[in-house]
Amino acid sequence: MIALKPDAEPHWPGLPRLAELLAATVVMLLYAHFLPELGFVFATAIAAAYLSWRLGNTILMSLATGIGTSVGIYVIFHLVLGLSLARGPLGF
Amino acid sequence: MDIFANLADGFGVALTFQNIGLALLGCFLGTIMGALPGLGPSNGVAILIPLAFTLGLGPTPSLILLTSVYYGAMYGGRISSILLGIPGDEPAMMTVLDGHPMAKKGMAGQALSLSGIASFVGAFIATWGLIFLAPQLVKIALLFGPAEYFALFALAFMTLGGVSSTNQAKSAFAAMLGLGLAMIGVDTQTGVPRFTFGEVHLYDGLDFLVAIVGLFALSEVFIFLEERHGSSDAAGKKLEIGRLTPPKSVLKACTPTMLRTSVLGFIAGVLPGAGASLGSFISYSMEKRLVDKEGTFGTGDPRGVAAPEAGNNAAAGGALVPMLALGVPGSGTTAVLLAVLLSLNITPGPLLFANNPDVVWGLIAALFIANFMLLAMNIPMVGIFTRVLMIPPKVLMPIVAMVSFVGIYGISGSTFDLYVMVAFGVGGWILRKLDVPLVPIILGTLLGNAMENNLRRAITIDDGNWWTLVDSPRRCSWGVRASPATWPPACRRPRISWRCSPMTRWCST
Repeated sequence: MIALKPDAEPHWPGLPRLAELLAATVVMLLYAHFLPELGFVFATAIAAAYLSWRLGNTILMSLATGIGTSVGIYVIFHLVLGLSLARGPLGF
Repeated sequence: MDIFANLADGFGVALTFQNIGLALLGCFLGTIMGALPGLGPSNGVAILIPLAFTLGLGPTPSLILLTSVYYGAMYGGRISSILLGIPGDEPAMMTVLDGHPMAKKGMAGQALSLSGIASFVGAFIATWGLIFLAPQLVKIALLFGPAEYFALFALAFMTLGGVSSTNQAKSAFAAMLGLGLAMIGVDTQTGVPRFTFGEVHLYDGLDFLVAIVGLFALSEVFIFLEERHGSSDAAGKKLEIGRLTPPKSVLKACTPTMLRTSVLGFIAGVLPGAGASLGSFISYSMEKRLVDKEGTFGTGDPRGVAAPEAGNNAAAGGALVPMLALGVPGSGTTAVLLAVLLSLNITPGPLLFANNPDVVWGLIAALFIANFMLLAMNIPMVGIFTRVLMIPPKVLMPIVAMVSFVGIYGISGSTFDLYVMVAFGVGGWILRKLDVPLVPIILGTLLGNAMENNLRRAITIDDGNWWTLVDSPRRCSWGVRASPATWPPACRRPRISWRCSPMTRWCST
């Protein structure tokens, strides 16, 4: 019964989109790697801005999203909730 | 009536400022998660798990927070179903059928408040069902030995795998993948490291929270990146709500519908593997068959809004029964909740009721409290949540990704876990593309070790005799029940495929 009902072939994205995903993966891995060195706020702002940019935001808006996300998470999780985030050379 | 005494104790546990605050926060966040297309109850809970840990919450407060998110997401899913015609999560798919036509007729406010009331009725009845059914199930479960547990776990895999997918081969594959992942780490009985490739970080096994957040939350980000679907579905649409209170006559007409579908949804939820999507589906189809004499279902019939909402919320409550009483989750989201319990060193199952009554009854009391909060939030304040729908994914998805990273890093402080999470995110994306359901993988990683230990224990008890698995009627009957559970869905499962963004189909309950 299982063999009789093969699903439709998935629709794989073309090469440009695959490269896009690969780039995002690399950015995430780099983020993980540099998080303890750069500190949470900088690393997160950069990574979030990159993702936002690749999702179709303008460069200025992505920078705003990145900084907003990073500072927002820092304030809520670190200052309000007291979660310890990675500290960079500047102490945040 | 010791049930009521227990419940009173439970309210004693739940009614602290901290717990009420957490329930309020959970309900609010949960409704938002549910309302946003792309985030459903399982990824909503998954994203917030690290928060519960890093806050240093005890078992009861964590569970209160996360089950409030769970209930809240069930409520929230209807908002985008009704207003946009796009289900906010999978269980809300049936609500689109009549909810969106109602909104088009300018009755969005009525549809929202009616579905809010239906959600409340469903969840309320299911919570009572949980109170009465779970202790009975515990009594049976106390008789279980290792062999029965092994059979029960097998049943869970079969039904969850069988129902959550249209292709049983793929869900079997997913379950095997999950079981394989569970094998990573030092074997608890012999002390031999398995599949660790000499990596010290893997000696403890994979942290299933890392797997869950990667599979559910990060893969979502990848899906959006792939489609570059960065604009909000609500952008440019005018969301008219209209009057918020349904007329009394409509409420009266819907009452029998709500009551019937609540019971039906609860039963669907209790069955392992069925979950809330099935609850809302069968509720809608039953009501259509029973009361739709004029053929108004599908054109904006209020009963068609009430039925699936009562059904899916009742199923959400029902799915907690096997999770708490047997330690076997009834749906994807309860599997995630089970992961939370296990990480807090609490083993659900019959002993939970005996050893940690404060956790169980505190949780149940909190469900009642959360339910009233949700009713209050979802009717007068529904306007706030409709505004949330305007947040475009290009802002939301980076936040989701970053919160996932922060959460996992906050738990372990290890970069290695972040790498593993990214790997799971990529793996999750590939599996989604291949239409492989993710829930059996989670179930496999969660239950794999317990299943293995029970199997080995059962066989050791019987001197290495494998027939011990099938030599008593009880064991046999679980096994017999497990085997056909794999095939009927293959022929019966309705192919539900109307317009819904590809993301939403993934956030199964």
